[in-house]
Amino acid sequence: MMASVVIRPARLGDISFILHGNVVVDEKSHYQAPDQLSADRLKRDVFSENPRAYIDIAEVDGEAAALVFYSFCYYASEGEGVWITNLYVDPFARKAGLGLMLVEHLKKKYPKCSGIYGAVADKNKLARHFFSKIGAIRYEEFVIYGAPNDWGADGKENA
Amino acid sequence: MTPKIRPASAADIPFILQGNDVIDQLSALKSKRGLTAEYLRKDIFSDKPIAYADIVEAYNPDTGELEQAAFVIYSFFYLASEGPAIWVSKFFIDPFCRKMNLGPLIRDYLFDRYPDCPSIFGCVGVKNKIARIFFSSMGADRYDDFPLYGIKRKEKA
Repeated sequence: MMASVVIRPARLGDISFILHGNVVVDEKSHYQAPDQLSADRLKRDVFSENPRAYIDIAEVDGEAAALVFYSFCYYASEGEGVWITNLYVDPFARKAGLGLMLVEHLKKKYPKCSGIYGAVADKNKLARHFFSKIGAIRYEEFVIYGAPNDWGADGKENA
Repeated sequence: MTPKIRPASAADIPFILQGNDVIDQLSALKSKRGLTAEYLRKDIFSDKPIAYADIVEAYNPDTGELEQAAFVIYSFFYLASEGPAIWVSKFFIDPFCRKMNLGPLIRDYLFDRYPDCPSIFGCVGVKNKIARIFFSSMGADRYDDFPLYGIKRKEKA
């Protein structure tokens, strides 16, 4: 029998699944997050009246099986795009095309966005394979820079 | 005189477009959409902005006048691993003030203005030396192990 797939916005009841997915993605990326995602942060940033980010869930037969965690980004020369910060597919549901379904869902949900973007850890083979499979371009001519606000409370040691 | 930062207004559009032309030449980039006065009005100088721009003003030693010296265009995005962050989409520093070390000034201004954002990120063309120097001057790390991927929306025929 064909499994039934439903894509819906995440709910508070999905927090455990979201946190689990985030841990797995960080592990695959060999990445130590400076501020580990927590239930409190999700409640503040996603499940609040003024969300800073959004999560959609793919359910298979009523069970959360995949998620896409995203916000918007702005490129002056391109306009507004969707920025995927995490995409996770539970092992039980891999090879069912859920990741692609979630990306297609975003394309339909935000038809005016210039594109869908994300930074993928080189060490995360699954993610690289996924982005290649869905036709994403790897922008070799760009490099991402990030300046953390970590130069101490007393001054700006990097200045 | 210390350079000062203020929010940009529609009156700054010619300066922003002029700087943008210089950036595109330095990065050797060709975008499909490009940046125009109309897009700036819609995206930044509107009732519902999706991005923001600030202007640095500094005294130009050649003219002795307070002039537009730099701009930064940015928005907000979200990193699961960090939380909300500032995304610098474009910045331009006029040659007359390139040695004024404006990177730290802009960084501190943005962090002071948006205390809930713990990081500033940006994507820089590898050929754009000035941009790389600017981000380095802000104390930014270069994430060589996190390349950018993107799926561009296809133009309708």
